[in-house]
Amino acid sequence: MNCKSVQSRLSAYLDRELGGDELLQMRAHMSACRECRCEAEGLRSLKSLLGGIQCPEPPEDLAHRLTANMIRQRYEEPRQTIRFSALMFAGVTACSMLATLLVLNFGFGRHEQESARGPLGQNSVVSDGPFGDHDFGNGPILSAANFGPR
Amino acid sequence: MLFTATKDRTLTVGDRALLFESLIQDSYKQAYGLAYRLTGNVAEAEDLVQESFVRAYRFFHRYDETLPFTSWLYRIMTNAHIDMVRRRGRIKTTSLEASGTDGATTWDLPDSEASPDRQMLLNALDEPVQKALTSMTVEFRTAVLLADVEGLAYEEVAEIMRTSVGTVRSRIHRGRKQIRNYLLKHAPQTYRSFSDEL
Repeated sequence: MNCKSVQSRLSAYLDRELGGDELLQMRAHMSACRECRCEAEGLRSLKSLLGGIQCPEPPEDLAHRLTANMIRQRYEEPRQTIRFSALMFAGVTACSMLATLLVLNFGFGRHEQESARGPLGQNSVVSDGPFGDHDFGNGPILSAANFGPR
Repeated sequence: MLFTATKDRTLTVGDRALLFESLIQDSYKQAYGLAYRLTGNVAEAEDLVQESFVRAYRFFHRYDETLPFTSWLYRIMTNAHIDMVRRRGRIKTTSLEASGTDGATTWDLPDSEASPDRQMLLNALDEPVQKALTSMTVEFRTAVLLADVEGLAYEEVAEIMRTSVGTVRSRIHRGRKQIRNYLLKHAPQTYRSFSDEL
């Protein structure tokens, strides 16, 4: 290991994050290299400085405010869930009603069409699918087939 | 006791709230310390702590009780801090002197085991250290704070920052060197005196 690779590992070395061969090579180099030892000492004192700096005390009522936030969340969340559920329910109901209306409207429309055509188009509707677009031209032919003498 | 209780998935909402309240009591001072070092001022530190606990409670059902609560909270806090930085574009810093004079900040009593000289030097270096931290990128600052101030192992830092141990190792090393260079430039005498004290 040269000085460059040793110095790039010095923080990990000081933090006891190295093991095995890497650690042994670092130790061997450091015992022979004064420059790297000095560098290690410099970083060690910085680490000690960072570990020793004081943090300010939090405001006295911070814990109380944090607890109050939690209580507010606790009571707001179910209400939000209910509100969301209510909206979902209303949406689904509205869609269902709309779909029912469309189906009924279509059903009645078709019934009216069929009624208007009378029994002539009855078989063609069954054979050509729900839209019955192709029925109109076949009406007379089918009517002849259906209402012939039995 | 309360941690054991979390293993029972049938915790009631009331139990969860009680557990969370005890976790607030146990960890808020430590959380505030990290938030203060991350943001560099008391107002933003308070915002960050509040936001972190709000998020923590919202996702408390996802908390893995086999991990220390503070590690989980720190992960939330570092993410919340990055969001805060992105939202504001930059971190506004308030002078530590200013925050001291308006009575918003009170400091821990000095460590009685530290020698008076060492404590005096530590106090003198506090502001330059905070300025050095604030001048660094969020990633370097977070890695250095978690390792050196919170005393976490690289693996824990990597877990919190969702990155590899190799990246953490590099960020800590480069971050420390940046702080040292800053101190040698802006507070050379005090820093050298502190180093000589050791």
